Amino acid sequence: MLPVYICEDEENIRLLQKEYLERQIIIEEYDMEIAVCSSRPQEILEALRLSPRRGIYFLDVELKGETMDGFTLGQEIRKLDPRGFIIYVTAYKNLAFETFRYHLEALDYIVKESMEKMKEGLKHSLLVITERMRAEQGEQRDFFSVKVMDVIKHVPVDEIMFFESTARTHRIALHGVNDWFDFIGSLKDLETQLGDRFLRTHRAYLVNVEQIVELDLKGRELRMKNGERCLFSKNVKRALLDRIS
Amino acid sequence: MNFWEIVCHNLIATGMGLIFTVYVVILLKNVTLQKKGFKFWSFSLLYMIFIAVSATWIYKAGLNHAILPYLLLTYFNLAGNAFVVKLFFREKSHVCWDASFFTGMIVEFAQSVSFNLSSKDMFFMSVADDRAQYLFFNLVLTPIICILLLFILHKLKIVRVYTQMTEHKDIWTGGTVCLSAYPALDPLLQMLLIHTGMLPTKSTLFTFFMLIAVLIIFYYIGMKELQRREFTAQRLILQQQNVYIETLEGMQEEMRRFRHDYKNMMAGMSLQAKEGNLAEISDFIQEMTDDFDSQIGGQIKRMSQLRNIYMTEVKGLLLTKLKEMQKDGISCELEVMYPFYGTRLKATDLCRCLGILLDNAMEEVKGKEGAQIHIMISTQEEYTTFRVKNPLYHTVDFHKIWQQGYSTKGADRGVGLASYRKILSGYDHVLPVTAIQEGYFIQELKIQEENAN
Repeated sequence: MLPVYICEDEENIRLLQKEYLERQIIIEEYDMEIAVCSSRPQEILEALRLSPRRGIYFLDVELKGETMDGFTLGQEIRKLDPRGFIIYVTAYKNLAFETFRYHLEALDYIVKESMEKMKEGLKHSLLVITERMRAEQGEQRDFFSVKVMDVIKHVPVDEIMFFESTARTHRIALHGVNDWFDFIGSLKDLETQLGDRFLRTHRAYLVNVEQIVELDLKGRELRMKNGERCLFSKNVKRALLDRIS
Repeated sequence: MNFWEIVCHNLIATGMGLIFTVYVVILLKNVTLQKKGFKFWSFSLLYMIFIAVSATWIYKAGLNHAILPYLLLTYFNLAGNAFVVKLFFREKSHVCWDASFFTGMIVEFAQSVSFNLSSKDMFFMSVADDRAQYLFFNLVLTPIICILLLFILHKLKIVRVYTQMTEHKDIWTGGTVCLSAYPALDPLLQMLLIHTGMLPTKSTLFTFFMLIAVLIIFYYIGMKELQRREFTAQRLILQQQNVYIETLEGMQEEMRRFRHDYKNMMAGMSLQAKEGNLAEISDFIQEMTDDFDSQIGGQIKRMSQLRNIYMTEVKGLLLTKLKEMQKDGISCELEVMYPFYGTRLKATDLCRCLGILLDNAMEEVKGKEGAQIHIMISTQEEYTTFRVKNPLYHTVDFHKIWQQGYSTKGADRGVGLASYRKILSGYDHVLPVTAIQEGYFIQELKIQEENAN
């Protein structure tokens, strides 16, 4: 059962949201329940601290008379529930939503322009959430998660080509199908963390063995599925050949 | 004095030269001392011993009055100093080189002044008294004069001018050539002048004039550079203000047009109201808000987001780019949720980087259907993120985009991203992120600010 939290400072809108969501849950037979419905962010956080589990959050962006706004509340919620679904409700059409999505992985935002549009938005959000949950259940993919300064990146392991140590100390570059970024870490730690699927082919490279397409024994180069190349050293040649064939 | 005594003396002199060079770099670049490993110290020590021994060897072989070995040794010493300083501070090569040669000049001048204070022309090393005097003048008085000189230069704010110059490469090449020629020029000219009888054998005058001349040239060029910079900065601000005024005027014009439409709509609506058509009226209101949003809402939004940028250089860059995008029919969204005051990246570098990212995005979407670019500047407590996002219209060979000269648009157009990486490679605490997500190309520049750990 997914708990639903509502934080909204206008009472009539809050009640309307609650009523409508309750009805939708019954009609569509969603596995959800309204847990907390409040104008105070603290109440939401307290409830969450008492029973931390994955939930759904409908948060007002502008909270009058509170020290927290929707964004900071979202940040606090993320600390307690990293995988929950956060949806923002706002009076302003021109919300900086990309910023919300970037930092809080917010799912969507609803403009409370008119009652009809708001209801539509609420309904749509619940639908998207159930679809997401269903898709996740079927998903067997492993993800590699790493902190890049203030955000956490999740990259499917089978999309990673290799890790490369860069000229700057403690800095590793991830080369993937759709990603290329630097992060702070060490190849040695990654080697133990990632296990057998990756092979340390060179002082500077940790390679995803499944992604190797070609071995250039003369130039001691590996060609990866995405066309990138990296090096391997003499003493891993045997191990590489064993793994590939 | 036997061989090893002289080596010891030379070792101290070399060490002093090196320490002064380090000091000059600290003065110039405002850097701090760092802890170094065993490798560095042993390398420096070996280098100093090598210089000291070869100097002693030259002296013992009686070659110390021959010009060629003297020049070779001097240049080798100064270049070596520059190299050690580079290893130590990891500063740019030309800065270290210049600092080393500049220090060489100062030390030479100090030496010349200090020996002028003595009554003797020649010191005989075999005589104990002479030797003591020589050691005193060379190892005690010279450093004191050196420190005094540097202190005066520091107080005269010449350093600031100098730093300005080092940042400008074109001007700096001239300065470097001058400095590099100095160790050769000084003894050669002096010899010539003494030979022709225009100078007495012992004179500080010449070195003094050389030093003054060099300083004046430096100061003049530096001041000119400073003025040029101020001038361009002012011109930039003026340009930005012009763009800003134009945008405001455009908004006013749109407002005027909207006011006109709105009157017409109101007239229509009051008619509906008289007939009691509630559904129609609510449609009308919806239409009007949508109209307002599409006509001026976007402009107002962008302007209010721009207001959150307090770094003039970045604001100016974005204003110009927004204008360009408008001209090219690219719709642009800008998000600056919290005020952005600045970052630890140098303003010029930051603007170059952002410019490259924006230009690339614009090049990709220009002339395409649904051309749009999304820009986000996000300031969190310890981190600043710049993010440029644009739809992709074709597949990108992801790993190739950073290569010099690679671009999907044909030859010679991918230089941007290569130099982007190059600029960033000069910084710690800066992470570039590139990703393709749901058909969008995303470039991020993440900076860890100084107040964070």
